[in-house]
Amino acid sequence: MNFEIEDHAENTVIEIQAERLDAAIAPELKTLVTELVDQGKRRILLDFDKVVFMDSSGLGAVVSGLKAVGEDGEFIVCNLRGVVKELFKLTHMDRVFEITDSRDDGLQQLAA
Amino acid sequence: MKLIVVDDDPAALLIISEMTRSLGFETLCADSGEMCLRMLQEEPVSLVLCDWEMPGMDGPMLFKKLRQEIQGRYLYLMLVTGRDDKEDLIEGLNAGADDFINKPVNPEELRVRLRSAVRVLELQETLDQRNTRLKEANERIEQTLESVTADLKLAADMQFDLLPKEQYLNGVAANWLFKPASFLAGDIFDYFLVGKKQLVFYIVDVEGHGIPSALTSFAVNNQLNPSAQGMCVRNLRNASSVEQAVLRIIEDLNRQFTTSDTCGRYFTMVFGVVDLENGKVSFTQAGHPPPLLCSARENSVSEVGGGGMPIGMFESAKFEVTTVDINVGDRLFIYSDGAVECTSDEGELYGNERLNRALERCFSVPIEKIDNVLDREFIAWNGSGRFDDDVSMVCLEFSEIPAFAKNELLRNEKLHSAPTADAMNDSDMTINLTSSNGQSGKLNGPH
Repeated sequence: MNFEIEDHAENTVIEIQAERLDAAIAPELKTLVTELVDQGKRRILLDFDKVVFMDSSGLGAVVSGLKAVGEDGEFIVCNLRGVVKELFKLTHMDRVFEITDSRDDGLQQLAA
Repeated sequence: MKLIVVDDDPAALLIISEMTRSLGFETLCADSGEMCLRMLQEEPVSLVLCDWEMPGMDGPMLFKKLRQEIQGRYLYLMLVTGRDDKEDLIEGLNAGADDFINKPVNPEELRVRLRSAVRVLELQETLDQRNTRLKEANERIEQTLESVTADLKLAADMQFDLLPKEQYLNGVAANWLFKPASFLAGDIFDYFLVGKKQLVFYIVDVEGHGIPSALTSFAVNNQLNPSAQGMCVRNLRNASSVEQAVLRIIEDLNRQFTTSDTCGRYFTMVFGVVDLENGKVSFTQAGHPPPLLCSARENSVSEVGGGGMPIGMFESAKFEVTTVDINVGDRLFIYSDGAVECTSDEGELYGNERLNRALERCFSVPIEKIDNVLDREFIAWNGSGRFDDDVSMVCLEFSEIPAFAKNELLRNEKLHSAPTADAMNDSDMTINLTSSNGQSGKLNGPH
């Protein structure tokens, strides 16, 4: 399983279990978020704790997640580190996404 | 099922053949090994019951010959014999017998042994049919693969043909490296002159790689083509400044490639225009690694650019244009992330730092050889020479000032200041194309 899902009341945490969020698993993440949104779950926290590398396909999947939850949804990312954080910065995605340092902060943000 | 009974004794031949007929077999009779061999060469029979002792070719001799000569179908061979010691059995098995039946033949035993022979032969036939089907399917797959591979190779050649061939463009020398991860790359790049005074350059990296990414990269390339109707020429003609043209082009591309469809592919790019007249490069960095400016005067490599969103992600994306001054001898280097993200055997990323150092070492390398040097560098780092992502790089070297710019510069100098010995020194002026050597300010988009 590349992604672990935890329900926190109205909020959903997706923890990426793989070290690389790349073309190999990006489509799975896209499908997963689409399914959650179909179930009415539009408040999502994506936890990058275990991720050390993300490529363009990975970033594409994360952005499609943000688009999928829509205007009234929430899509927060947390625990970005190293080259993953750099890629968010390089592509100015740090201006598009709400980013928190920890999962707890992310959950608080979702609850707020 | 057909079978052949072989026996030189007419009485025994008659008895055994009648027994088999009563068991429902279509029985053929042979009174010698030679006759049996001939029959098997003509008739598609797979089951033989043969007497051991016969004048001339005996049972084991016949079996050896059959195993050698009858190919393409399985023969089930049964020896009819009065012998029962171990050595005889081994000799019979060595000759190729599948089973034995004792003489005189007991009808019940014959029924049971023939039943197992039929079972083996039927199983064999099923296997043969399945094998044939697999072989046919495999051939079809191989043919398809061959034609797909040929198509891909052709497409790869076509992609290669799209890449710029010119090495010298009005005072700018260019070189590049292109290493697709599979046949087709999601990377593409080009540079070309618009008129005499502007040089357009860009590098595109479409999300992912392979066919779907390549198709998007072809589409982008097509939009940016150097024809008079193309997006580049149109905007460079109509905009009030080079910066404005660059911004318009990038915004146009973003509008065209942003779709509501979430499976649309986005891309990162560096797009820029060199103004050969005043030695300024204006470019936008859309989600792409920053261009590297190699200053000949300071022997230093520095990242330039202000970052920005990729193209085709958000319709509302805002882009920035950065303008830097260049001097004669400087190099501008653009590359896709496949270069810095290429991993060593230990999984370590090549990284920006190593690339910067490699480019510093390249100051002493003529631009014509830079592709070779960097290619060797990446292969040495990566070990296998196989890359997970497309690697592409373009290097532009501002090797001399075009004649018209030089004249303009001289004219300006004469107009603005009284000629001095220094100002008239041509070689000095050639080096100082611009007065400043640092980066100038960013121009933000109108949004």
